[in-house]
Amino acid sequence: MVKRILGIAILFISTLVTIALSINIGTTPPLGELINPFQGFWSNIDLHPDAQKEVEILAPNQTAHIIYDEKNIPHIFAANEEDLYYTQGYIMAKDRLWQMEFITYAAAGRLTEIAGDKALELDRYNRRIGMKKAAEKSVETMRKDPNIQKIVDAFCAGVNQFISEAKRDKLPVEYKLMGYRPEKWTPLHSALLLKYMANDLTGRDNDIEYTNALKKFGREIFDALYPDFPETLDPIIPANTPFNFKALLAPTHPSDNQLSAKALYHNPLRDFLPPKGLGSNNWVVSGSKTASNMPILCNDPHLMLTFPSIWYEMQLSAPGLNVYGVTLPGAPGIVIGYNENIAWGVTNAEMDVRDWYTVERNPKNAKEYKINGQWKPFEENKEVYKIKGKKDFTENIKWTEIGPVVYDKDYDVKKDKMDLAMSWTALNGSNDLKTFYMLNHAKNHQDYLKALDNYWCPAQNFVYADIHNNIAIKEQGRFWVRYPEQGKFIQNLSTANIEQIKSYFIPNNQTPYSLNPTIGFLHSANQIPVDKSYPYYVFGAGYENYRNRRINEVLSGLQKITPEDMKKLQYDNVSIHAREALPIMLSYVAKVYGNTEVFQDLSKWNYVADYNSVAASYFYKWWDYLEKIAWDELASTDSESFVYPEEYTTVTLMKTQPKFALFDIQGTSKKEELSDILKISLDSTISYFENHPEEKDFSTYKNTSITHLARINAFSMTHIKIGGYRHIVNATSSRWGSSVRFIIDFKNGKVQGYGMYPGGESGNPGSKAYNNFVQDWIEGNYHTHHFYQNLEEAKKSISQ
Amino acid sequence: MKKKLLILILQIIGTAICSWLLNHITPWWIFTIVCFISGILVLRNGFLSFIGGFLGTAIYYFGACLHSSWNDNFTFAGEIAQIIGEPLGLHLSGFSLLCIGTLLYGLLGGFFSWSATLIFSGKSNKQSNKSVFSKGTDRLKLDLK
Repeated sequence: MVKRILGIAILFISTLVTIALSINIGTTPPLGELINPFQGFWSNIDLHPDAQKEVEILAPNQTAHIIYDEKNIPHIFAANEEDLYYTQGYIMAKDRLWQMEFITYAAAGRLTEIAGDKALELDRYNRRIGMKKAAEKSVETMRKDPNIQKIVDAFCAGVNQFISEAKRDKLPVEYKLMGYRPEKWTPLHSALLLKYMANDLTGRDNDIEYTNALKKFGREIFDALYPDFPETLDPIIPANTPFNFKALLAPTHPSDNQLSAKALYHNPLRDFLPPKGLGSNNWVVSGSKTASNMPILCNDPHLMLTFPSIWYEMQLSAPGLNVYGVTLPGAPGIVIGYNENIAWGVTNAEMDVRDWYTVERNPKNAKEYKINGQWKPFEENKEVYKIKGKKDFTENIKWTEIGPVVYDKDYDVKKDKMDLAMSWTALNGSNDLKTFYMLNHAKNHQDYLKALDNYWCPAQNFVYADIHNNIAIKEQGRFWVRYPEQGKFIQNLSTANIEQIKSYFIPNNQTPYSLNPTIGFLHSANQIPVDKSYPYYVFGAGYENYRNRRINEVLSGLQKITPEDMKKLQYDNVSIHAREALPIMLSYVAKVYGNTEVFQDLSKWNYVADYNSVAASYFYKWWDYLEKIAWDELASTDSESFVYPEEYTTVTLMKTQPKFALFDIQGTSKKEELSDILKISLDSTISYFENHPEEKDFSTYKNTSITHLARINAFSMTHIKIGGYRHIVNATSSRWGSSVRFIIDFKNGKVQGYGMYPGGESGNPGSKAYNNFVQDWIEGNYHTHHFYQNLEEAKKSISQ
Repeated sequence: MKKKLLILILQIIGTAICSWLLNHITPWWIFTIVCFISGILVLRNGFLSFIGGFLGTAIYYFGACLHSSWNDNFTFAGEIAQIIGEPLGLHLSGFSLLCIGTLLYGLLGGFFSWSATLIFSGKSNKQSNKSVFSKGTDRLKLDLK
């Protein structure tokens, strides 16, 4: 009897332990399952990823063939487009399911469901800016287009087929680590992914900061800090290009002046904004400048460096379509790439497409707000955040006619100032996928223009080349027709022009555009798109003005260009920023610091920021200290937010106004000038490197890292030895950089692509194909794309 | 004594093979059922039952994980060990994770097997000795006396 009781007790305790190991406890996953040899992480070890082999998939209509080349790149051959996109969804899910879904969780503000309450503030941000609603509107718009609906449905069916087939052992390891399972993939998921990118690329605006700066420092200083046009202008559309169209009239400036309000605003969203410096390069050279007499197109979008990589490379082939390139995991079609006739690439337009409005509530009825002089009721959305391991969190988010009240008393109680509503072109229902679908099929320049007509947000510079020796660039998106400085500051919703916000956009045939310019090349690097002759008011917070000039400089000097020249340019580490700033900086400190090692090294520097450059570390540290000291008045606090001017503006002020008022350091009796702050900042720099000698190595100093999406250190890489930095063509900073490199050569009228990206085709950290491209990306070893004309050619290729 | 050893070896091999096979298609905790059943079938003293369950499970677990990770040199297991160890301030290696897993699974297997023996051995003695192995268990008890 005693034995039996003891046996029951042991059984009971063992069962309890087993149950405890089978369930999520807080954010800890079921450990028993996680370490199981057949269903846990051990089953994710994949030493032989798909390469040099053929796989067949039973698509809805016929069998689709996938040929994996030696780099694990899938080439899909299907009998029709429905089967093609179904197969694309299937194999994308096989390689990247967790990534696809995780991003949509983030975009929809649902990360708390898998990551717990630490993700709550990020989720609130994403819900408050209306990501999900925007995605829902886009789905509605897509549904009205039978072609797009068909491909999206086929894609979703493919993803869901994989999910239904995937047993526990085949699920990505992140599901096991976080203790959840994939949900059904719907068109909303794909739309959320595109909105996520829209926010990443257009989410950084400075309306609040500029409003604060204007109020605090006045017009003269404001204009010096934040000019609309940089001193040295190198626009995307070559200067002096005539704009032969009749522009729409700008709206009238409202009579009220929001700037008279006394309050300064804190920007509670600042922590969640995409980092400054995200951008991209693309350029195209015409046959008149190439060795082959045919165009070469290049593109390298600079985005957050993440594992799994943000891009997925593949070829899609079906009757009437043969296209190669990269796409965002979760989106059907190809986003950047080429077909047999044309090639295209994108950079971010940087044009301001997000505006902020103060909201006046009805003092008699707090559920109403004033717009265009009338009281209207808020639409209230109850948002429930399911938090893993904790109680749900609930809040009401108010919506106005122009967009959500992002910032209100409920959101940021500590810094209560005023309700702010946001208008953003991405909130409108758009059918951006159609643009990529049409580009994938485009045969000529007219098809390219028609495709872009459907594109709204995030606004992009679409560079173009074709087998007919045409080159072009067009900045495309929905851009408001604005009165001067509209969008630069916080506006007043009570006097806003609702029709303008909803539908008064620059017509598609009047957005910045150039075709076959006489200079023989076109380039964009997030710089201002046009010169002052463009008839519309153009404004963007943070236009680039160094990378573009370096590209211009190199391309202008080259003739008989080959793809090798283009590879060198994509890895160009020359810093024009340093070239323009450093001589000024050194001239002020030569007398006092001329004998120091730092000064000597900087004096000899050729402005090339290679990974092992010591001078580059010195320069950028000095610059960072200098900015902090020079712009101490612009340091954000808990109650008011500011933003530093662009580096090129600081350099201009150093050149032209060494006694600029803000160079004075707050709280000192002395009135400091440029020479003083340069000495103080250099002093700090010298001390810094005395204490951190290992950081003299530039790669250690900047610590370029590729971080796992869920910030899992074990799945990330740090201290990557690669040169380049912000405002350099090889724009590799600490956490962002060239997310893919593409060179497309039209030599002999045929398309040949080269490229690579910092990652691998597989999203599985246990796979050899998780990061197998990284070393090539560091060293600049481009992969030659296999763009097969048909299945037979592809099969032959892998059998050799 | 030889028979005792033979039974123990049979239990270990049976548990390892059954757990290995069933784990491909059933939930992770299937080995606990296997061990429990083996504890009923192989009735003898509790300690040997525990050893049988422990070693059977440990061999299945260790072998399967070693097979997965051998060519990978425990790289991926090392990454997972880092993820698990970091919050606890531990620097675990992939191999140590394998050992911890083996121990955990083994202990659970052993306890399930032991509990079955304890619960059912008394009942079995009172009733007719239907089980071949239970006769052996009785003899074992006599031998021990």
